[in-house]
Amino acid sequence: MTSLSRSGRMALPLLFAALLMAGCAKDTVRYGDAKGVETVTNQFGSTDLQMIAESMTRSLLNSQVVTSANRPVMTVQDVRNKTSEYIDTQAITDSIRTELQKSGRVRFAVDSAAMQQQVEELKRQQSELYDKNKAAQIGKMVGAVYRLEGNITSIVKQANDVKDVYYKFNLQLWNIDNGLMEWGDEKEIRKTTTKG
Amino acid sequence: MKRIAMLSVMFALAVLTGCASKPTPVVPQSPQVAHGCPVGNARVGSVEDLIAAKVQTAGAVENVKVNEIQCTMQNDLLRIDFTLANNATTVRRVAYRFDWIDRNGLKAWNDDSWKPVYLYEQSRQTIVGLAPAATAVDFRLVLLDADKKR
Repeated sequence: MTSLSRSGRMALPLLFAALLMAGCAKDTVRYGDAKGVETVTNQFGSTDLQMIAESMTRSLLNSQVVTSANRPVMTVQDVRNKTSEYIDTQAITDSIRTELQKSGRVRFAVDSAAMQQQVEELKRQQSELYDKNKAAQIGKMVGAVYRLEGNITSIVKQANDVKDVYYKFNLQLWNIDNGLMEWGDEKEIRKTTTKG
Repeated sequence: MKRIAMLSVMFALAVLTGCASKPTPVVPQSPQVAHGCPVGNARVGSVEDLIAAKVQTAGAVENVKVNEIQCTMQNDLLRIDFTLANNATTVRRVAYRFDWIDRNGLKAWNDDSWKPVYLYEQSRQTIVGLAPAATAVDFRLVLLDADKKR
């Protein structure tokens, strides 16, 4: 009993020192490669988003509907998230739209999400504060000829120490006038986590 | 008399102008190509030379090599087909990206994302890349070892 209490007394300062050191340990912050391969977890990540946006953009730019038309006007609709996890699908469509716009081959009409701001600005310019000759006119907005919409789905399987996630992103371009699908493509991603 | 002399001088001038040899039009030099890929002034006599001119690595990439590369124009975009070969007896994971270059040798586009590739042991895989815009007329293919912990 005496020896136990002695060893306990000896261990206490060591424990205290260890706790103190852990408390003083500094977190290290470093910048990383924003385009780097991210494999922290097997949930949907930045590499997946970038790969999907790049793959879809390149495919659409090479489609007949874009190459044969003179800068067709498109609008972006929702990408439905059918996976079991939270994914900001607007981040995917924003990246796709930005890449397409930068290519100079496509134009985008205001989408439903930005419509309210557009109408408010139009109405504001109709006020007496603005020069009538230079103010934006009501009734001159250009409607989209095509709409982009898509889905993201996933299949998750887990057994013992292995977790497998399969994502499938599907994007389609629809002709608003006649309802025909003019282009479609998909991107598949598989991520596997093994414990240990 | 004076009028006749003037007229003859004018006539001679007109004839001379008409006969003056036309300046040779400057023919723009067509860019050097090998296997369809733009190579600029690099000496490319074989596929190996082309790979050496176009492929770079970010750090060492052991047992994985590009062993074929070919380019073509798809509409007005540069399309690159290349084959990755895994010579190892184990599965290898690498990542690749393209650096796009414009007509003036400058960066033509934002950095591509790294695209992971899963290569089975002793296998080959053909990958297709497409330029993001017509301004991207040249490229460098960069490989990265994705098995390596960083």
